[in-house]
Amino acid sequence: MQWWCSAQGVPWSWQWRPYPGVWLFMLAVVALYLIILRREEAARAAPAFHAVGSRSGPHPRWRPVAGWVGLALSWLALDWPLGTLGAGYLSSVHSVQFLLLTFIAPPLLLLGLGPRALAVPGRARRSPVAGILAAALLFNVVVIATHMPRVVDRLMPTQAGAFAIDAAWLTAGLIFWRPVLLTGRPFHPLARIGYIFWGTLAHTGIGVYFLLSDFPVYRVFELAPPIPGLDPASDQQLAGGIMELVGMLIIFGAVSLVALQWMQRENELERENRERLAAGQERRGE
Amino acid sequence: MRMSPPTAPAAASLAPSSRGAPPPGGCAGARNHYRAGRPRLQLVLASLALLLGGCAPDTHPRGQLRGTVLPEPIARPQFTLPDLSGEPYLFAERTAGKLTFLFFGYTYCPDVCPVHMASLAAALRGLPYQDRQRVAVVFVTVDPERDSPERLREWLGAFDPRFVGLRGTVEEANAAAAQLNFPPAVREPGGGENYTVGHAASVIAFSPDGPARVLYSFGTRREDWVHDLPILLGHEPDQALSAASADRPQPVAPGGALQVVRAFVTRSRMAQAAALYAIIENRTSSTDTLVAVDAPAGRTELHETVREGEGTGMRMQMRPVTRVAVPAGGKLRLVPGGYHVMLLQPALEWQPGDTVTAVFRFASGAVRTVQAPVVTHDEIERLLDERTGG
Repeated sequence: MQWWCSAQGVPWSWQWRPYPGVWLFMLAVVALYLIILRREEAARAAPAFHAVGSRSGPHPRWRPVAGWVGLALSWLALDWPLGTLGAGYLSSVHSVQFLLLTFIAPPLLLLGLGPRALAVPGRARRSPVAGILAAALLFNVVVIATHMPRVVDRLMPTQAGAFAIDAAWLTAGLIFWRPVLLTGRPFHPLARIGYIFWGTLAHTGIGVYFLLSDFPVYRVFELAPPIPGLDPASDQQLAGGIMELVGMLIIFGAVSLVALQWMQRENELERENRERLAAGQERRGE
Repeated sequence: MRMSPPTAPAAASLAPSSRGAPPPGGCAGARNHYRAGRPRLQLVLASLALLLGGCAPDTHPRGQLRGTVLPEPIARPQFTLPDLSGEPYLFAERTAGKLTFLFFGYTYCPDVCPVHMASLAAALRGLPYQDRQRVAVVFVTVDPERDSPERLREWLGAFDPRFVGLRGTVEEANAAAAQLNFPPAVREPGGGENYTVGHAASVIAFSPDGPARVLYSFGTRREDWVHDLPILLGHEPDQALSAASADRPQPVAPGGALQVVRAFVTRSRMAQAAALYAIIENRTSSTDTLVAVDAPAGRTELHETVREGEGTGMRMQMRPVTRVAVPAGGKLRLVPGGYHVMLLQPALEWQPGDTVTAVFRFASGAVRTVQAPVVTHDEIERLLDERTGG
């Protein structure tokens, strides 16, 4: 029995396979998540909460739901059948895993934790720009490194290697999406939009490369026991298409969300100014 | 499936290839010789390839085969097995003059067979039409019990309808494999109806001039095939092959001395007729004579086009001949306006893209079978012109 999904070179079957390592990993992530949530709740209950607190007031109900959906999607990406197919059979499923673990689950997990957990730590607050540049750079490096054929072809056939890739994706995703979801200062919305585009450059390039490449890039998927109906080249093109289409939807969705928040914030400020002005006029009129 | 251990003489040929994992296209010299360049796109892709592949040094210099070069060439095996119509298929004769890939496998194979066939088929799709006509892929089933002709036809057709399937008994398949020093196929114990069969996992490649010099073990990728096909077809020299073959006598394949190097069929302007054109090369020191050509037609005739009359009254006339000489060390050209073969009352309404099986019979007793593609009148002269490489 395997503890983590990896490329084993055995013919694909729809027979369920257990991966205890995935379950343990997910249990650890859930435990960690619950600990952070509990701390958040305790902090919210404390009187000093509003000194750090969020502008959105009380913790909205959708936040925990987003967090649990993020956890469920992480599990979906790592366990049978998606994890098995993506590890050793289909490049397209591998790209779905990648999107789930780097683009979809991490922002949901972070949203679930709430704004206090996202707050910039004291040290990083001194050089926030350097921090977000480093986060974007790290994300690009991880995305490129985990898509290099030599890395994929060597790591995916081993359980530890496949685990390393999956863990790297999830960690890099959490690091990347954190600055995007920060609502207050010091990150101007325009900086956040720029950050999203800069941070997803590698992903976009790899998707295009998959779409246009003449040959299957990964030995592990090209020589895998075939799944009827999808040859390796078409599978790779599908992977590129998924990365581009879904990735772009998420990128533009995130950009739209940031722009929307920015617009709302500007409207809010304008209203506050108007109210302040009106109050001043009233006082002068008295 | 289980990959059978090689027998002693084939140990080198069946051992896994020593090549390293080639980096992705563009970076490692994985050139596609047949595709028109898209410079700007290639620049972008090359940059991405640099990022993705790391541009590691290619372990195979340009012009060097990626398959495993055999220590000794192996002559084309002389075996006959039923094809999918039940007709005897004389392997050596039917594939003579063609780059031939021979593989022993079975359609229920879950991994090696479909991966090999899919990679090879994908690479062959990139070949120009003329080169594709010079390649034969023959698949011998080692599991005739489950591989019915219908299943084999459907399975092979999914890769390429031109792949030839042969289905004899297991003993016949093993006897054929033994000629190549391949291990016999072995049915794995257990598995009930879904049993697996252990068999040689390599595709053996026979050069157009006869013997096999290269073996492709499991792990050969599509880009490896694309890299090697031009070398195997003789478009590019291979250093390893040249070096390996310089010191030893080359086995002469049956059909290597007398070959039909090109053959095409066009629909004739006459109703119910088609014309067969070909170039026949005689590398022997004695003249041979073409005496008959068999093809799926009501009647086939050797014809000669002669000029009758002078000046404005001149006209070209065809007349039947019974035999045509193929000069020693020379060529016989069956071309429009000269000697050619008329296929009267053809079996089918052939269209460009179809293939016609033609059997050339010579006075010496030699028989050469070719698959002649059906082409249009406009193409025929260009295709028969050796200078244009048609």
